[in-house]
Amino acid sequence: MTTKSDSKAEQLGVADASEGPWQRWGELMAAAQDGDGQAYHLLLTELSPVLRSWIGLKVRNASSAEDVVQEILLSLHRSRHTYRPERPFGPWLRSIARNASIDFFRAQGRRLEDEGHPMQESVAAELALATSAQPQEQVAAGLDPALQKALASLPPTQREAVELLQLEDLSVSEAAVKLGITPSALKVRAHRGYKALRARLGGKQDNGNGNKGHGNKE
Amino acid sequence: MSEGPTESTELLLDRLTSAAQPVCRIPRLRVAVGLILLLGSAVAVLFAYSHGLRSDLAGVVANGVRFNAVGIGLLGVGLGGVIAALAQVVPGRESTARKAVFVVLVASVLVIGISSLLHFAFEEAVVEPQSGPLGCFLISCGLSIVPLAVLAVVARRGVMHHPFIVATCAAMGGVALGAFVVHLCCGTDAFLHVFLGHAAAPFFGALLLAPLLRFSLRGKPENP
Repeated sequence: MTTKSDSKAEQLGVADASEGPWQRWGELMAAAQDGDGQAYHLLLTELSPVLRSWIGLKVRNASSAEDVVQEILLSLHRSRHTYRPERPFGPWLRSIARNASIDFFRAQGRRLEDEGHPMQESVAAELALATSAQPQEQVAAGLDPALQKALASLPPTQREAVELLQLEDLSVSEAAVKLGITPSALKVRAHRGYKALRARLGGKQDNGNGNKGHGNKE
Repeated sequence: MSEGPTESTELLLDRLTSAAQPVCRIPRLRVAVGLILLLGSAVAVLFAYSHGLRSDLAGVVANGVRFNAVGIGLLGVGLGGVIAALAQVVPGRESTARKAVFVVLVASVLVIGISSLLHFAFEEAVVEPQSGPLGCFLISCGLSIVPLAVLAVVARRGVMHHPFIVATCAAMGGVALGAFVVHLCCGTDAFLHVFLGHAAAPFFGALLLAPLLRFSLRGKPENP
């Protein structure tokens, strides 16, 4: 690891601020690849508004746009070893941003398709009904006893995912950060949780829950 | 309710940067391609040494239009396929990948279409009975195993968005390079033999090896 005094971020901090940002970001990325955490933090901090403005052109919903930005930042983090300092930084970043946003919307589309399943809708709807207009502490206690029991019987990882998305009403990215896992992994856990809840509540839900169309927010 | 979006992004940045460790960069594209070609060449030399080049190689290179068309086409498919596969796993190299795919397409037309037309136009328009194209095809696949294994190792370190396309390009490229070596060593000139055992080998090879290669290119599970 580099020390603060020889950090690339400090070297580039003021002197190169007037130069083209792409070259500067490329140098920061190269420093980050060598383990300079300060340079990496500076790079990601400077890239966030740029990504936000790119995504803002495509996504009007601020919360969804922020989710996409976070997905891109995660993707950039996972792919940071693929950057070569002798190559331009711009095309590399744009490629990651484009692919991460495509993956995000594809996964969102799949998730929406999954939520279209009537049993899953009814589970999510019941959870949402229980959470609406209630303080967080009372949410779990206010659930239907059968649902409460089914929720308690889930494996801890799945229960956490369902609770964060449905009871605490966090977005996928927020919940993923909280659990220290990727959004994709969180979605898988939540999906498995919903499936298990459906299986456990099968008979009861089949009797017809009219609530429709409320899923975990993205 | 949750934190505001910017706050959660800040939290994410802190988590990402606090966990940032030095990373080992992926090799340069030309270095990776060079390494694969070097290994492929080593295998080819060993094969040529043990099997021997065709005795009339100088003559067919000088006069055989179809022989040269198939050879150049196979070389194009081989180089293009390997470069396309490797370029696709490096963000920002999409244009290189597109150019390489274009080379593969042009070379495929040359190796399949033009070579067939040349045969019927300039050589005897008789389809001889085929003589063991399967052997040449299998040898082509065998010669591609070492380069493809190295390619898979390199490609796995990249970013895999279209693994099946990467696997298909790689399989076509690897088998085409193998088929090129076989083409230089095999003394059979029968049309169906050359067509099925040499010219079409990359395409049959892709059908055979791409699913296996795709399997080996699977990303690491995200531990859901």
